[in-house]
This record gives sequence, C-alpha cells and structure tokens, in this order.
Amino acid sequence: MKSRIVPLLKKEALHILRDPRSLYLALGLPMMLLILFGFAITFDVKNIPVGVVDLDGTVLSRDLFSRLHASQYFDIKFFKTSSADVESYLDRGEVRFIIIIPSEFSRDISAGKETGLQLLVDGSDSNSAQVALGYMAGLVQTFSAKILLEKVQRSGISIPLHLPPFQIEPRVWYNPELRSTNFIVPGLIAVLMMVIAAMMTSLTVSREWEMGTMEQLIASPVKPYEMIIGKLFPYYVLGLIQTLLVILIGQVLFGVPFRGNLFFLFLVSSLFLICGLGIGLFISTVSKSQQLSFMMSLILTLLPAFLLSGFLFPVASMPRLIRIVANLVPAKYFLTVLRGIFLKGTGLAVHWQEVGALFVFAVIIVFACTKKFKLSLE
Amino acid sequence: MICIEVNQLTKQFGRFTAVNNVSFKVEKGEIFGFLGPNGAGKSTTIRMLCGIIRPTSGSASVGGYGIDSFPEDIKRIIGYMSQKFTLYQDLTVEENIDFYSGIHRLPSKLKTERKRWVLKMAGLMGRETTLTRNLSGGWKQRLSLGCAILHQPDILFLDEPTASVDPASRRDFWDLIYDLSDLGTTVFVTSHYMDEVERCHRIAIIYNGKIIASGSPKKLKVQYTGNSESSLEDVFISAIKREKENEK
Repeated sequence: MKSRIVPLLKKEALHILRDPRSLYLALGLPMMLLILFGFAITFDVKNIPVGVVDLDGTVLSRDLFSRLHASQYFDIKFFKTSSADVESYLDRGEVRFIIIIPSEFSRDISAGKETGLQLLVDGSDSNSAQVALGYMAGLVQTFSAKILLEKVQRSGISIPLHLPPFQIEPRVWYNPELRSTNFIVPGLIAVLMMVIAAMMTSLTVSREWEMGTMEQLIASPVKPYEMIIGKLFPYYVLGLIQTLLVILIGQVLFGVPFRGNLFFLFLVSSLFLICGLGIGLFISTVSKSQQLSFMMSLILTLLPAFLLSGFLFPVASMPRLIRIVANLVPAKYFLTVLRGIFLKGTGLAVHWQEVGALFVFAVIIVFACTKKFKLSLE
Repeated sequence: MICIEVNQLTKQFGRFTAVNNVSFKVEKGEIFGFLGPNGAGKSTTIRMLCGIIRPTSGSASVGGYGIDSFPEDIKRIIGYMSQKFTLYQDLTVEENIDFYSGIHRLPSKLKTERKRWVLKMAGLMGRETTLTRNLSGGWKQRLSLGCAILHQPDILFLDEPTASVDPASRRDFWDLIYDLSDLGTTVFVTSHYMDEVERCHRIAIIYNGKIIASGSPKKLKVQYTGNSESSLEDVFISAIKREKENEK
C-alpha cells in the first residue's frame, strides 16, 4: 500500500516554498532577532560614566583620581573641585555615579582618623549600579591597602607581610574573559527556536482550519498520526536549517566558541524542535484562527522560555514554586545542554538527564496531539 | 438497496438544537436533495454523515457502516464537497489533483487515468499548472467536484455545491451529477435553490432542524398544493405553513 504521508509532505513543502512569509518566519526572523538581541543584551558593565568632585585637591586625592581614570570600567565624564549642581548630571543620566572626595580627605588619613568617600549612585538601573559599586569597592580597597602599607613602612617597622594578606587568584574556566555574549547567545538560540517552532506549526494548521481544507482532510481517510507527521516533518527540516543558521551566526558574528559534538547538537536540537513544533500543533487544535494561534504561541512559549528557562535569571535562585514550574519548560533543559555544548564541550555523559527530560516531553506532546486531533473533529 | 439510513439523528450545540430528531433513507444510485433555508441544519446533517462531527443522539449508517462505529470505513467510500471552496489555493490544478489522489492512495495507473478524466470533466485541460487561486468560480467548483470524486466514491455528499456559481455553470454542474448518478453513484445534495432541487429523484425539506416534508418532487407537489404542475416554491411555503400550524 502506498503511504498517505508522502502526498501530505509534498503538499506542505509546496506551501512553504510558495509562501515567502513562512520562509521569512522560519529563517529570516530568528536570524534578525539573534543579531538584534545578541548585540543589545549584555551584562558586561564597562566604561561606566562617572563624575569626580575633588574637594580635597591634594596629592592623595589626585592619586585616587588617576586610579579611577586608568580603570577600564570607568569613563570619567567630568572633574570638578566644587560640588555645586553636580546632581543634575545624575538627573539627566549623563553619569551613573558621582565620587565626592571630601575636603579633609588627605588630612584625616594623615591624622589616622576615619574618613570616607561619598558616592552618589543612580540606582534606577539596579543591576549595573550594583556591578559598578562592586568595581568601585575593589578599587578603594586596593587603594586603602596601599596607603596602609606606605604608613607602616614610613613608621620604620618592617613586617614580613604583604598587604592585603591574601587575595583571590581566579582561574575562570569555559569563558575566561567572562564575556556575557558567550552566555547570552546559546540561551537566545534556545528561546528563538522554541518560539519560532511553535509558531510555524500552529499557524500552518490554523490556516487549514480557516481555509476549510482541514474539514476536507477530516472527511478523507487521512489518519491523525499521518496528519501529524505530515505537518511536523517539513517544519522539523526547516527548524534544523534554522538551528544551523543561528549557530553559524553565533560563531561568526559573536565569536561564541563551539567546543562540543555536532552530532550531539543535532540529536538534542531534534528533540527540542519536536517539543516546540508539537506545542504549536497542540495550540492549533484549540485555536482555529491564525491570529489567535499567533498570540497563543507567543505567550505560551516566549514568556516561559524567556523568564523560566534560566536564559537571563538562574533557575536555582528562584522561589521553590517557580522552580517547579520552570521544570516544565523544555527550553530550560535545552539551554543547559546548549551552553554545555558551546562552552564546555560536554556531551551525553553529562547531559543525559536533560536529554531524557526533552525526550519525555517530545513523546508526551506528540501523543497528546494525536489524541487531541481525534477529538478536534468536534 | 438502502444506501444511507438515518434514524432520529440529533445534534445540539450547547442549548441550540441544529438538527432535531431527523430520520430518512436514501436508495443506492439516487439523487437525494436536502432543501431548506440557511441555518436549517443541512450542513450539520451532512457533516455528521461524513464523520466530521459526532451526533448528540440517534444513529445513521452510510454504505452499511454505522457513523459511530466505522467512521474510517465511511471515509473511504464517500466523496465530500463542502460549502466553502476547499482546495489549496497556493497549489496548481495538477498539484491539488495529485494531492487528493495521493491521500486516497490511488495506484499510479489509475491516478493518471483519473487525473485526465477530472481535467477533461472540469474543462481544465492545458491549465494544469495554473495556480488554483487564479481560476474562476465555475472552474474552481468543478475542480472541487473532481477532487471529491477522484477515488470514485460510492456516495457523494455535496453541500450547497452551486452556491457561488453562475446559472450556466450550475446547469453544467447538474448534468455532471446526473452522469454520476447514472453510473450508480448515490448523491446527497443540499441546496436552497428550488429550481435545481427539482431535478432530484427525491427531496426532503428541512426547517429549523426538522424534516417537515419528504418524497419525490411530483408527490410533494400533489400532497401540498394538489397540483403536480405547481412549483417547489409553493410546496416549500405550504409545508412551512402546515408545520407552523402543527406547532400551535
């Protein structure tokens, strides 16, 4: 007996090839979004605009200033000797914080009195303010240690001690320069693949509902599983091409290393694509208009993939209940594996749990679609 | 031989009863017309018989198969042409034909033969590579019919097949239906055009989900107007009048 799947596949391929919009949705859009977001989303805080007010005007305060100046983290926007009207720079957002060196700075230090640096911080962007404060604290600590050491030396006491007594000697693995791009891009690939996959299938099926061709198919001897394979497979192939493209962009444009096994990537991507395409198919059994399908697939895939997958916020630091929900998001597993493949070069031996979870998801969603397709005859 | 048998078939959508306790029989080779205004329950009945939706209660069999127990068998022996034009507009004439003969698993030899037959019947010889969306209404409709009968079904369900075509195409279309009936195909057709239903062997008038009259056009005319020369329109009006009186 001839298979009914072949004509279904052929038909779907013709739809895709004749409709430039679907090709754009599948290939153009993710590439564009990856390029856009890849450049826009960064956690690296460098060249923070700051202002310096030096009320002291001594050698010591100049020394501190030159240290700030030499640091690549700070970009000094102004240097003043009076604090009049400096807050307006914060209001206008021209600087992130203002360092005020008090007038008794040098004198207090010489006298051995406690003294402080005033820091006016724009906390509206709390994340980068925190990072900037961290840099600043580090800088001040080194500076204080240096002053202490000089004092001790000048007093003639010789102590066999290095100041500060000990320091961290970090050796960062996998991403030695701590580029946030290396962290963002693999995550972004997972988010984009999920959203686009769900959208592709949900739109193509709801289009058939809108056109009335679905009714024709239901009245024909086509079986639900044939229908599902006929819809999934062409978009699966398209999804793989899309995956390959975005990974190439990640490497070529963003310089994200690829240290893992290509075949393992293919395997995991396949499972993940089936999850995404299946979710789309499931949506289309509920929603029979393209507009609703579009909205539903956007909300049901984009939000979880963005917020609960660990793309931006680590799942481990979420509240317990949210963590449980996050475990139901396929993108969470795929993202972990992708970061592993890209940065660590890890394979199935490390990621078998995630691969297992994706496999279970894929099976459940395809099974649910087959069931639901029968019921949707109503 | 009875080909379609419907017993007290009912379909409710929520609290709305679309088809109310409908029973009728259709003989093999017959052209059976289902006449009624829009929203009377014609499409709902057809869609239940084709296995697209399930009845709320009652039973029916098509070609000897119960619609509840053997919907897959029914789907193999019927052809269905829905009210909407349901071919793929972005596919060419030939691609649509190939698709439908593919999902009916026609053997290659028969496939070529049937394709030629459909192209000829629809007058689309030489237009195989035209995109379906660029065809005119009459052509689209004949191509739809062609795709619905590629697999030579025993029973053909046509839901308002001539709703959007010009009178000349309608006449041609009915000639085709006659040819099919002569070859032994049972045709179940819905319409709200009185003149074309006149050409059916037997008709049932459906109103508000209920069958209010059925029989051959001639018999109905005598029964409802006392005159075999009167029009079906008169039959229709007087049948509805009687129904309303009965309700009171």
